[in-house]
Amino acid sequence: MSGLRIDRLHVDLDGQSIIEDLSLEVAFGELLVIAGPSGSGKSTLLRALAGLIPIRSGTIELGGRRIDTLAPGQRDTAMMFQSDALYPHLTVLENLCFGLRARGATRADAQTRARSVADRLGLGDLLQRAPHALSGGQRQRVALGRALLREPRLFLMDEPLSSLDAPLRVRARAELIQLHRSLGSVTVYVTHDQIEAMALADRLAIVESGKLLQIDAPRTVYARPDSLAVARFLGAPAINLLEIRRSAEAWRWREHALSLQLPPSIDRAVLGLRPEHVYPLRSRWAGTPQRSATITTRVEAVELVGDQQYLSLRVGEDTLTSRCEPDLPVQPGEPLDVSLDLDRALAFDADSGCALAP
Amino acid sequence: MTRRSPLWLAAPLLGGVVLLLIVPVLLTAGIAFTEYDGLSPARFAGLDQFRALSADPLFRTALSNSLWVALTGVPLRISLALGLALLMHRARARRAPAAIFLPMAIPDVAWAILWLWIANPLFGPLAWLLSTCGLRADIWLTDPAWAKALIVLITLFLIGEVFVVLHAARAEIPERYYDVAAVEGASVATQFRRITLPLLLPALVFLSARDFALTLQTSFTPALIITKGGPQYGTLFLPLYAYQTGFEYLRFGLAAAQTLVMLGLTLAMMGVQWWALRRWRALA
Repeated sequence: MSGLRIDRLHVDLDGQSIIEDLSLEVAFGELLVIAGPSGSGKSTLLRALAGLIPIRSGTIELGGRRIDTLAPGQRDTAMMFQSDALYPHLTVLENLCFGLRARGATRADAQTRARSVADRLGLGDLLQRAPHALSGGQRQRVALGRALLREPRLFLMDEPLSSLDAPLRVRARAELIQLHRSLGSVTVYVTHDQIEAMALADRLAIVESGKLLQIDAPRTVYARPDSLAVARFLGAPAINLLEIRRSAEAWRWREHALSLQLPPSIDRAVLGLRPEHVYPLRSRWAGTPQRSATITTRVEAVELVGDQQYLSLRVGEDTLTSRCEPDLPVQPGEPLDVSLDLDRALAFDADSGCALAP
Repeated sequence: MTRRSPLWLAAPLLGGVVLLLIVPVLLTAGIAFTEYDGLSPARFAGLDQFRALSADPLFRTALSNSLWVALTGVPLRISLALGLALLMHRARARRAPAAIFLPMAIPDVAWAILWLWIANPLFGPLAWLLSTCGLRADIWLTDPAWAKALIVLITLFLIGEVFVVLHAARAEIPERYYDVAAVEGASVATQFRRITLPLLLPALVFLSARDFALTLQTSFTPALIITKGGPQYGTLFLPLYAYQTGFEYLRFGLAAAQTLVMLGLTLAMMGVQWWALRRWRALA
């Protein structure tokens, strides 16, 4: 059975077109992460799926049933928000029971089910507390419990972990994946955090300005981005983008010749090279590509982030970022020879930004 | 330059409060235990005036009239203001709230005189409305209950402040609560009952208590100008009765005692409000 099917969806907000002609499918049991810069329309898309804002045209189906014509409460949907959105005047138990009671469960039945979910999430001792007496992590768990009690077939999450601090977030992420697996629902998870996006996604969709740019396995999106926009969005530090041109029968970046096979019809392009594919020659982490180019740079800044370090390298007026092992001795100001891994390099059309066949 | 206590900056206000509030209250409290007509010197009367009050059937009428108008008017005004506040919030209206506040900007007396015209049984629009409902156009001039209803109707428009506070309080409730509730399948009625109402409760309690205390006083002007306490003492309210007792019959001691009863009612309302808010805080 098909899961979530979005067909040619258009959404307007205050007279402005936010989502344009978006189509995609997600199977039951699949976790789709929608990532994109802020203002790209990803939260709007989620709210439209939940039925909280009207759509202009297109259809949304869940399990073969059209849901875009249904009220939010009838869509078998649960939603988690950036902030926990627990009702401040109700206890944890009352918060958990709220939806069940609203959908007609008896008090006793609602409480029994709420207690069993609370026990499962380790909230058993907190049931009589008010939300403001809980830690951020506990509140997020209550919100999760509330969503689980909905037994959703479509689970929508709008940056649900963004209010948690870093260590808690990694743990919560693992728990979310586990819960999603046990639910077997379609889960659509929106985030602007690319690490979270890569870590959670079965498939990753990149959205910008209300348009779907690419949807694929996260590994593929990272390694083979369709466009410059996707390449730029994924990866921190950002991908190096080199403007290259063909001259004297060879592709060149600045004066350096690069052995690249690109379509003969063009004579300029943008070369994308991730920091981990710019190797200092002395680095133990240097790969052994078949095609490479060695250039001399000057170290401008060294940024040690614990398990690795990032080097800002100056080449004329251009800057390259390189990643290497944390104990490679480098000093700002000294010259450094690096090798560009042309096997892994990505080429994009200079005008349209579309990826060129390698 | 020496630093003075910041209290000095509040001195003009505090001076006014002492002169116009504290002193009159103390004077009133003192006069209530005397026999005083403003002409001859006051004579200590002990609790005589309060004894006279409890035996006075008109005072009991005035007390029950005041309570009747407060107990019907306050819930109606609060509900009306709440309804309008929620509608305006929903409509994201910008100018309409000003229209709702507007009657508050009209002086009491002008408002009462306006109603004198509206309610005129010969040519007022209310007369037409009453007669289309099959009622006599002068019913509020002859029936004490209808006269009180007219006074309540007049004050129903004076909800500007209550409305403004509730409108702001509603805007303070984050929309995400309603989003979650909608996704969870809660109907609009459930959302109102389980989210809006409880979260507005502190404001509602505060406004009700305040409105109750104010009603004791604001019923004075329309009763004085439109119905003059009649018919059959139907709109004889506490402040009007105290005014007549004091300034028309020159029985200042008795009037002061009546005023103290009003003050007592007001303080009792403040007590209720204080208790309710404390209880609510303990819950939250």
